[in-house]
Amino acid sequence: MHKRPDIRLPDVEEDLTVLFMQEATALNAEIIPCSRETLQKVLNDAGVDLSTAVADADAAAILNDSRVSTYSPGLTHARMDQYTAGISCPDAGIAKTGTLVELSEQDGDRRISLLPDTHVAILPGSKLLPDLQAWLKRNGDLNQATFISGPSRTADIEKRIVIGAHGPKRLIILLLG
Amino acid sequence: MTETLKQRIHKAVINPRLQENYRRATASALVKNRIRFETPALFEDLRQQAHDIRAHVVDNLHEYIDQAEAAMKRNGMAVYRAATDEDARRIIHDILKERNIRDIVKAKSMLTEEIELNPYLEARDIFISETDLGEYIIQLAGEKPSHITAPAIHKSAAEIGALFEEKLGIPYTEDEHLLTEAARNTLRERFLEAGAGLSGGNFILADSGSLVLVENEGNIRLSVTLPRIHIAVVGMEKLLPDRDSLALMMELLSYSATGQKFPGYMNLIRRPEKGKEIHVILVDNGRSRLHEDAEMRVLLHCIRCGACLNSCPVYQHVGGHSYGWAYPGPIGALLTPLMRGRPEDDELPFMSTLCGQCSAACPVKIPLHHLLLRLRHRRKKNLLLWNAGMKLFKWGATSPTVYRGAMKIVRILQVLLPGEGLPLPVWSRTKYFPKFAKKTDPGRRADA
Repeated sequence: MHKRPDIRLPDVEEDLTVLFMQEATALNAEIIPCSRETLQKVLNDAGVDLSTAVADADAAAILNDSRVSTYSPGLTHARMDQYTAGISCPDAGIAKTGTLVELSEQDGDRRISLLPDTHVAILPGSKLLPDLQAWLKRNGDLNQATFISGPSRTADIEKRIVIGAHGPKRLIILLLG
Repeated sequence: MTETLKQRIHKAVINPRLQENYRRATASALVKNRIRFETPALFEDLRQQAHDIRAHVVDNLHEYIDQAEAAMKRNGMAVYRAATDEDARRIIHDILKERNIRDIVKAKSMLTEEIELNPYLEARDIFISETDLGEYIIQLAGEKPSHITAPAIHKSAAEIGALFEEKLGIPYTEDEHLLTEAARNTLRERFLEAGAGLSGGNFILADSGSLVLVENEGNIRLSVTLPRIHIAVVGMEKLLPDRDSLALMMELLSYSATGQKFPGYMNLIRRPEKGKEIHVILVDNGRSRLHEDAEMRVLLHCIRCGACLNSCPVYQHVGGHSYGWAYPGPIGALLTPLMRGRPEDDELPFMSTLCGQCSAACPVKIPLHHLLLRLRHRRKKNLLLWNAGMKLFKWGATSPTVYRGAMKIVRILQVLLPGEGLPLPVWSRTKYFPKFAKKTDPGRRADA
């Protein structure tokens, strides 16, 4: 078989944080720069009820709040559906398109960012990458990855955009400085 | 009795509500697609690269299919090859039957329309919930999709409001937010309980055996995440060599489909989770035959974005249902006669003005309007007469003297010919015959 033709994609030249915030905001995500100390207050101000929230192990450790449930694989779909917010620590953020990347292990943790109406992502600024190609180059082996750009949306009725289709209605990104 | 092509077209163009729905929907897509032209040089560069990658895959298709199949099997997926639509339907039904599954959630897939999967499964007591909002609307209405990426493009909010009032028992509304919320609530229950999720596939990365699915609504995520069984039906040509090729295609796919920079969600699926199953069915159904057709093989480059539909003046007027099969617009006018090949499909290549807007919009540079012309040529039964007619036209249209003389004769005939209802007098009255310029303007040559 012949070698495949070469691929040259345009470079990202902008500041990654500025670009990521601009693109994610354009997609109706709510981006809030904050520090570990201010996380709880920021979530409270954003109207997220931590007592009905479920968090992955990393996010639960960062939040360190006894009200938050920690995810376990045994949670049924119906139970997961009852949480009002799912809090996760994504693997990376892609600046060019304002996208979060969530890696999945073997235990159904993809449901955290899928079933609750609000998805909260805690993302340290150091996890920003310029583009999709950079992420794909870095992550050689994986089981499943989900790329998330803004809350779920549809334009199936007269091409008018509705935020909140089948997935989360709100996406809050807490960008840790 | 099924309607003929002419009857379908007639029904569409005399329906003012339908005309308004299509006008609004395609105009909106065109406005968004204009983003592309903010950097035309970059768009040209990227789509040339995308063309080269797709050409490389299609030229080495059988090697890539073997490579992808081996990689997916290594990853723990079950892989099947379906030679025909009947094979594909049977394989899917067998998977469900063996596991006693009667209840599935389904993401949007044009391939499942192509293989007419839903009626087959429903006749065997499988309950299918279409979950893409547009597909859900047309499933409730008992209709077929009219656009590759926007299946309910032909319906207005008022029609959808009346439909939901009748079928879901909600108060009548034309508010798209309330309608979407009603569908979300009804379908959420189905997602939580379904025995299997059925999807198409945008790409398969041959080297790592990864399945790529893009969407905006989250219904694909739910369909492939919640049920224990995931069945993906994928056209055997939808392969990419590797991850860099995916990065390239993602620069173009959403732009071309909806004017977005990136899809709301992209699922990259390599291995099934513990205790779960992924079944991938690679469908031929006429693609091998197309592959052997050296001139038309380039159609296998298509990534099903729908850009050629939105840009097509014929599609904008006759709508998706007129074409009579799963794929409408310029791409459908080519794929339907070549892949399905019923006698009535021979008329489809004539549903084009050959304006070339489709080819200009195509992110993988398929020369759609040239192929439409070629296919017309192939289907012309009396080529001798056709060629003689074209020669005569060329002679007349390139000589000012002959042209002016012919126009005079036509004008006289127009007066002499009897009245209404006959094609020539009616036709010639509404046509404008351009005059020859005194001198050739080199800047305005058609081929410049």
